[in-house]
Amino acid sequence: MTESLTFENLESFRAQALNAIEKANTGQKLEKLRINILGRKSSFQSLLSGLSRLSLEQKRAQGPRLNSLRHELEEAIESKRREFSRLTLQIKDDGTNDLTLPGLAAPKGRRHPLSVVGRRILNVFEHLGFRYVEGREIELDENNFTLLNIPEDHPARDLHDTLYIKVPSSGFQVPGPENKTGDVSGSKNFFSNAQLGISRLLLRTHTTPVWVPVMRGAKPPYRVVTMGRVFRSEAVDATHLPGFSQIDAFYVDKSCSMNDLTATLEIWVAELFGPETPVRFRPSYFPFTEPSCEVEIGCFVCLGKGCAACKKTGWIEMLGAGMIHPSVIQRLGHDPDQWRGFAFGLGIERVAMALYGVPDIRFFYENDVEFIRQFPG
Amino acid sequence: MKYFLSWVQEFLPGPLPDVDHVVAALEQLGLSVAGLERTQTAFEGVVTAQVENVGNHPNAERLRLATVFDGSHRHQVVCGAVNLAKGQCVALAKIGARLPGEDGKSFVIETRKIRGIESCGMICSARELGLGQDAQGIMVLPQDWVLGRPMQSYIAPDAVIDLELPSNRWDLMSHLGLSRELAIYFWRASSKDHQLSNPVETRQKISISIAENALSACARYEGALLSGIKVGPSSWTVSHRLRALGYPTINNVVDATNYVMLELGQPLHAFDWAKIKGETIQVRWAQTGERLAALNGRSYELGPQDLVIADAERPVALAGIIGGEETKVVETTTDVLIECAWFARSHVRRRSKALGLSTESSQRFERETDVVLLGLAVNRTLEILKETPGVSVRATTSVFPNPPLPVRFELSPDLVSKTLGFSVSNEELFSLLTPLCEETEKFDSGRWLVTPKSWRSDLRLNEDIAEEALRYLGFEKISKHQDDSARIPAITNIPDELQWLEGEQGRSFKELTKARYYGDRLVELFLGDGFDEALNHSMVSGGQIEEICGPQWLANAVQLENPVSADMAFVRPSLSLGLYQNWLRNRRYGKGGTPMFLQELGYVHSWDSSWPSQAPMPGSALHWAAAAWGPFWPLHWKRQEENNFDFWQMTGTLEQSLRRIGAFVSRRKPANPMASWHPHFQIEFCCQGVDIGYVAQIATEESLDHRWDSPLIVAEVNLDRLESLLRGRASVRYAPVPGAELIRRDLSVIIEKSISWGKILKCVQKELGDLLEMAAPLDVYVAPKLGHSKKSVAFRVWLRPPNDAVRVDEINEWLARAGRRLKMDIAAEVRHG
Ligand SMILES: [Zn+2]
Repeated sequence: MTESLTFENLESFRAQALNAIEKANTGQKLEKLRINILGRKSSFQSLLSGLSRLSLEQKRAQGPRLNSLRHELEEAIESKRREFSRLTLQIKDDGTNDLTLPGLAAPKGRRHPLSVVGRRILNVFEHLGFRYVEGREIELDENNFTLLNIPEDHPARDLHDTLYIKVPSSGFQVPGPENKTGDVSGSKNFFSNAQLGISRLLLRTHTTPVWVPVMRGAKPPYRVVTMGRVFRSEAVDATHLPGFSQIDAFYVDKSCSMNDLTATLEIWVAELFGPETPVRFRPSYFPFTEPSCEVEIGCFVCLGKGCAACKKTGWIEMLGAGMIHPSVIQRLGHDPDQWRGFAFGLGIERVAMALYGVPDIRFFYENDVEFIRQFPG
Repeated sequence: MKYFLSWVQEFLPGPLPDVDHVVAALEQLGLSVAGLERTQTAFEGVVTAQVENVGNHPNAERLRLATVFDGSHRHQVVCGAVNLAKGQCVALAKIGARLPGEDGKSFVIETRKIRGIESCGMICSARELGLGQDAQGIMVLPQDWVLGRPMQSYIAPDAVIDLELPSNRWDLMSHLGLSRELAIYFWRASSKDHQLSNPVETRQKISISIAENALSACARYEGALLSGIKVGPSSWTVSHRLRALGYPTINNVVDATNYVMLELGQPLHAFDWAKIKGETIQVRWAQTGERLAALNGRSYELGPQDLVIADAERPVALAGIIGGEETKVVETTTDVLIECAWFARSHVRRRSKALGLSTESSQRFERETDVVLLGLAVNRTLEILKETPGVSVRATTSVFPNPPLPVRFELSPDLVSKTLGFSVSNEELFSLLTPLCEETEKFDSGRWLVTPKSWRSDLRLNEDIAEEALRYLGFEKISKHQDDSARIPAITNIPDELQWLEGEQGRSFKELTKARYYGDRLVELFLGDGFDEALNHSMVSGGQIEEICGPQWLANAVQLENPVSADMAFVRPSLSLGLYQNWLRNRRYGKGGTPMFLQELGYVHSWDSSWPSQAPMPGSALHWAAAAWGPFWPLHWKRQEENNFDFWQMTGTLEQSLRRIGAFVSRRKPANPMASWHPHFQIEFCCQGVDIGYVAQIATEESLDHRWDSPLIVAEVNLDRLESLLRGRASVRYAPVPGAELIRRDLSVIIEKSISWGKILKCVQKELGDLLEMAAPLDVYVAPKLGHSKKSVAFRVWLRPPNDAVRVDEINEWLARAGRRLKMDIAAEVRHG
């Protein structure tokens, strides 16, 4: 179509165009042809737009002619397009289009089982109106013990064999220009905690110290939940690690009772382990709660018959709970006659071990890729 | 602690139900049953018999031949026990007798030849009959037991129960203590301890004194002097019970003190009076330089912090912890001083910890003992020792200058019900308090004045009584009430200040939570990119910090005072340490072909002064990190080549993900690279000019090993810093979707090798401004024809014209402008593709 298009060579243009359309063998070529023949910048279009400059008589003669040609060409292109569409439905059955061959995708990662379980537990509490707050892993002795009713010499400190932090001699200086002496010698002098006349630093032994900033800082009522690492000076074996994870939740309000506590925990157990799971409460002792109890659920491995997971008792210990001790409420700045609270805490590893039947707590921290990928994270 | 049920029974107002019921009751009381040994008579055909004669076995040095008489017949029995002696009354398993086996299956005694001699039966040890753990020797029975009687007629079915006690219930560390608990549970009554007789008073006194300045550590001292003691084995009951509970039997005097300790919970000590110099006992603080050779064979140097029991010349015992070797009761002892004292728990606890010396006695004192009980304990000891003929009590002395006043407090029964969330009737509550308290006085106000018994000094508050009510009434009470009152009250006004409370380093809980939220988002995004989540210990070794991070990091690392082990002596300053360990593990354990993509979210700590911190705490930050190693794409029929995850894939993935959470980052050369980083493949990510993380290839000896033909790439982000940079950012606003279509053009430049893509991009951006939608490098290559200092970079630009009516010459003009800018700024030779 090199020569310019006029009303005179319209017939040969028609024949050439129809021929080219017929010969087009791919959808892309057909689309190019469409643009060439009928597109905005095509000679056909300029002929069509030139129609307006013609006399009325010529318009009457050429107008319908051009229009019918346009329809004819459009029709031809459209029918050819439909032909191509139909063709794509016809696949050669040569075996290369085996639909059972594996699909292609970048692999997806898995969440760590402790993270899965921790998030599930938190989720339930967040639905019950508990607000998540973040605690800290290194704590003051005061927050971890003293304010929670565990004074020095209290026998309960035996339960918490504590890992203490060495404090560098410069650690307690007030930051100021005189201290920015550019000490890059690399060696720091350390005070032992005992040498310091102030509260010692330690790796928190439970997540409970998070009560301190919350209760000291804000007036109840509130429901709070936290999750994080805790540390004990314990030898490593199949059920003990010096570092593990806990969730701790508490609720302070004017009317709040053991009854509310057990109701909350029963809802939690039903959400996490299913509504049919039996729950039982047993008295226990924690210095920061009074009354205190332990919560056990019916073993879901043996359904209460007794197995290794439940140490043949039919019950698995899940968490510790109780009413916040009035002297803790008082120490943290509230009137225990006016406010009472309940609280509970649990170890995530214990729940995960029970839930998935993991026999050894150490597996969780080895991060063997094949271990992690077993879980539905 | 282990308890004999029959021993507990002695103090109860009525017979206990069967063992299963007792176990259930204990569980409800919050006392976990850690072990249960039924000393049922799991044997048949065992009778009492007397050893008439003992001879040697002709063929075996260690075995002996005994003739045993069961009242009607004589039996020849081969026996290996060392304590076998003529005249003893023993337990004889006759032919046909059935004994409980070690494996739980019983077996039958038959006639059999032992080293050529026929043995017609067996003389049994306590263990062989299932009556205790002692297998050392045969059981020696009381002489007055009638020969030929089945053993069952003397030994009732019994059980040894091992309980885990709550650390605050020191009062339960005795058989009497447990009986008090069960008496309330089953009978709402007191135990029968009041039936034990009162202390013996003698006219003669011993010289005993407590130093004035030691009264806070030793409030009471009871001494009793016995003469005419014949040191020898204990009675059947005493030795049988001690052995079954796992205590050694030493001699009748020491056994008696242990027996009373197990029965009443009061530790006692016995001195050989002949070795006490000056016939006097002083409780005082030790002087510097004094020593004590203790019963455990070790010698302790003492000082003014040690409370001692001394005679006229020297310390003879460490108060409440251990006695002295020189004054201990020996075979020749005839006069014995029994010590029964109250020592302050904090003192005993401190000294026992400092000396690293924990004894049965110190374990009880450091929990607490009942100062009121002392007289009873002395008396009970005398009662046992006086059973032997010839023993007399020569003198008793009591030093108890300031008996404590009973503690009383006001109880509000209403508040007990409020705490529990269900109502306990006054009658119910009163019946529980009666056995727990000396007295309960009811006031008109509805409040009660209660005076708990001396051993329940832990009861001081309404809440304490609420707990007792729960324990004795049971938790089912609560469940029963749940239908009408169970609720989680709605909080309508969670105070706003809760969000803005200071959590750590002066940051609010909201901000802290936000940092974790960003971390969670990153984890979620990287899960989509194939990264599994890992969790590593927070504690690492100094060597790991030095190898991965460097010596300066080690100098600033947070160190533990009392680490569990050397490889957990520091708190991690970077998450990359753990991920590197994970790589070593995943690579080493025969999984060389498995790619490893791991990420972790967790806290890191350091004393580094550049980390934000709040005195006296070290700096802490929530970090996210990832490590990648191996082919990213799985082997697939549609993809021919495997491509190992590399540096650029990490920077790209991280950049994309950070953009998703709203952080646009730039890159720069790290100012303080870690020791293990590859000298070239390391880059710092910045947000608003502040570095928030890095990507680096790890270049340890291990990771560079050519067998692992794949780089180990690590990335780490400080989420706290990221959060502070993103804080207060304006929220996203709608913008109209651009109408004009993108125009795509390719360019290529020949430039100096040292010029980075970043610089090329900056030039093009500067010139084209909003017209430039995007630019991406297609190819970077060097070739001799380019010259040795040059490289060629081909790239594609996507332009967004203001509208669709743009002409080709306009587009060409834009590109020409970009070309001129590239030439001017970075001396590029430009070719249009
Ligand atoms: Zn089970």
